[in-house]
Amino acid sequence: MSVLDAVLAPLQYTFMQRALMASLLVGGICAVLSCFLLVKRWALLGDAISHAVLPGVAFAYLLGLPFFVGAVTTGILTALGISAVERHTHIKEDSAMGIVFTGAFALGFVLVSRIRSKAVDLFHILFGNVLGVSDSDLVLTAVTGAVVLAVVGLLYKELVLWTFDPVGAAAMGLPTGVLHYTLMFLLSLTIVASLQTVGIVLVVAMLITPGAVAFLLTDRMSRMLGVAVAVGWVSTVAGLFLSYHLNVASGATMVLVASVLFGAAVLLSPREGLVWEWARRQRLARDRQVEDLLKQAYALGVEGVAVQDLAERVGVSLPQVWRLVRGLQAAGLLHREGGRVTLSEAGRSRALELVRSHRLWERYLVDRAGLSWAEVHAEAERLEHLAPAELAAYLDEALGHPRRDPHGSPIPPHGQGAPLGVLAECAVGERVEVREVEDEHPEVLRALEAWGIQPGTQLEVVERQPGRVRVRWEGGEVWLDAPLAQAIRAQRATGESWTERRGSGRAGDS
Amino acid sequence: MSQIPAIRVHNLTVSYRGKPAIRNITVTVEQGLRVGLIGPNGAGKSTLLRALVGLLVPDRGFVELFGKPVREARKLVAYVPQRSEVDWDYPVVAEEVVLMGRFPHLGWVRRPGPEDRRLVRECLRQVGMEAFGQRQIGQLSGGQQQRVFLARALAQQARLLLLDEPFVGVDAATEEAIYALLDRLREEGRTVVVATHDLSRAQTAFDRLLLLNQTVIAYGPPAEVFQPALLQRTYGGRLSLLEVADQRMAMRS
Repeated sequence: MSVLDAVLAPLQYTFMQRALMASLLVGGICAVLSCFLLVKRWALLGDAISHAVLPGVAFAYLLGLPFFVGAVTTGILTALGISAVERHTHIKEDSAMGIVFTGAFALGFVLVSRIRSKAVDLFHILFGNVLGVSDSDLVLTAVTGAVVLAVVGLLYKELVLWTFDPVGAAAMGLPTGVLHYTLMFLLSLTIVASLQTVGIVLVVAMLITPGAVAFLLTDRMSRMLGVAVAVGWVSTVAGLFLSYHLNVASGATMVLVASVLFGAAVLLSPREGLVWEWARRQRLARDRQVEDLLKQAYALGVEGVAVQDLAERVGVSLPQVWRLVRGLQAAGLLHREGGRVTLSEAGRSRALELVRSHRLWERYLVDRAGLSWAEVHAEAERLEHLAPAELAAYLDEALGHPRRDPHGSPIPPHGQGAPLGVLAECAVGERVEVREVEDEHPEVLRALEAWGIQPGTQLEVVERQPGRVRVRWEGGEVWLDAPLAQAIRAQRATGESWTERRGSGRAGDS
Repeated sequence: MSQIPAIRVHNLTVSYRGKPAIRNITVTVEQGLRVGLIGPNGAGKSTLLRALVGLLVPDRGFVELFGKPVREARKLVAYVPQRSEVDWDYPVVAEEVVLMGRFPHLGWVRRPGPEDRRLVRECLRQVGMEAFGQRQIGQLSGGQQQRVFLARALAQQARLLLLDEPFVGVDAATEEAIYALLDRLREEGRTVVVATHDLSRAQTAFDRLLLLNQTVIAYGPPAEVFQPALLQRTYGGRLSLLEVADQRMAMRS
């Protein structure tokens, strides 16, 4: 049986057509009100009024009045009774509701048990009977729905202002008492209109769950209303067809669908979804492992580190460390040859930032937080992962640019491990330190050796011409042709540029 | 400047939860002044402000705003409650909160139009919050929330603004923004009453100070009012009150 058949086949029956109409009406109206109940924290009031409807139905039967009249009357009386208890005694709202609605419900139960008539089917009032909706029921529900939606539509901005900021609303001159009782009246109407479909006990779910789902998924009232109505429709309609095919109670099935939707929203809500929260934690944990791995690779030296040793030092399994290594390799942070890895310059730079962050945190914890130098390592191990670069800059400033950590290790300056540049690409006036020389051409090495230029030599670019660069160093000045300049990998003399930048920053402040 | 005072309070006594919170307040505030409302916790600062906007009904005495009873002066007054009185989880973004300031002018049923929205953006800009218009209100910092509510008060285009402890729990930037706003409002000839604990700025930031401890201790220019003896009576006044007040008051303290 296809989905289309599953939907269309039952609709041959008039009772199913009426049930579908009733479901859509009730699902929609309840959803709209549920948004206001949620923000007003009136969920329990919906529960209270729905239960208090029972004696109204019984009285109406005894007096020969339409059920609707009796139900609305007791619904409103309950709302008023709760307000009265709350206002005139020290009893708080939740207890006031509990007292009034259980009392009313008990009264209704006593009356119904006395009547013992088929006309008042307790089971249907409590749990609904959407398949038994009559045309007149449908008209009643439609009219009620129209009234509720019209009032909410007309008073939308007033209701939002009042539910958000009752004090401000009153100060602007809104009659908050009128709004209070209007909402209570609409609630009573809605509950009565929903009786036939989902019943007293389950209408509460339709008055809470759609709004709650929408609340998790949106951050403004207008959208919340739309989402809630969608949830209400999906719950009632899906519930209706499921109950038809599974041959189970329809009202309860609708509530179950709504509950499932709520569960999904809890897991997937963009703001508070547990799934995203879990994914975020996983990501953080992974970032931490990556950073630890870089640090360990740096600490274990430039000669290359066995991946196996890294796994041990970082405290992860071998497959995990391989996954991390492959990721870092792809990101260009390390080179791998067989089972050994070496950090690239970029990787070295990241590792140094972490070392810097770690040692600055240690300084901070000892100097400012007053911890003993014996206990700070573990704390710093955790803290160093918090936005290393920016926080480190702040700590450095706050601590007055310390040079060593509490244990005496030097704190590497920021940018120490900046990526190397090819000398040929350096600008005039730039001061650089030779870090690497490509060793593919012996003649290059011989030329540099003759001048005394080697890794560690400080150079200044003094002039550039197409195809050559003129540099100055301790031993003099020389033109370097393109092949030479290409072979030299240099780095900005960070010690100097660091202090220079700092100096100009201060000048700008004053 | 008009001759009608912005606020005229006569012999006002207001009870809060059955106990008198302020008594026999008589004070007249001329238009265009920045008034600092100073007093310890429980002095009745909030009660006075709430009575001024008609949120509390006086036991005795009356309040007139711009020569009218409070009920008829609603559009002339904007009130910014303490931050703790609002539901910050509410699904509403900053711009919508400010838009609420337009409601008294719109009346029932009518929806805000493009002109209202333009004004809202302008008000957000004035408090430096234009970049946060689409942010849910609870995701803003305390200071930013305060500024959004100030923007809402501005959107009311009121001639009198009443701010209840706007400096509580806000950052330095917001504090400066509020003081700057006070200056600008005075230039526009509007009257502002600010309940505050910030004694250090009170002398320079306001044109008048109202020292309050259940009754008016003093009202006048800061130079006259900001004196040790009067401040002592305002803040140390609880003890002497205990001595003279009836037993009920003593029980409450």
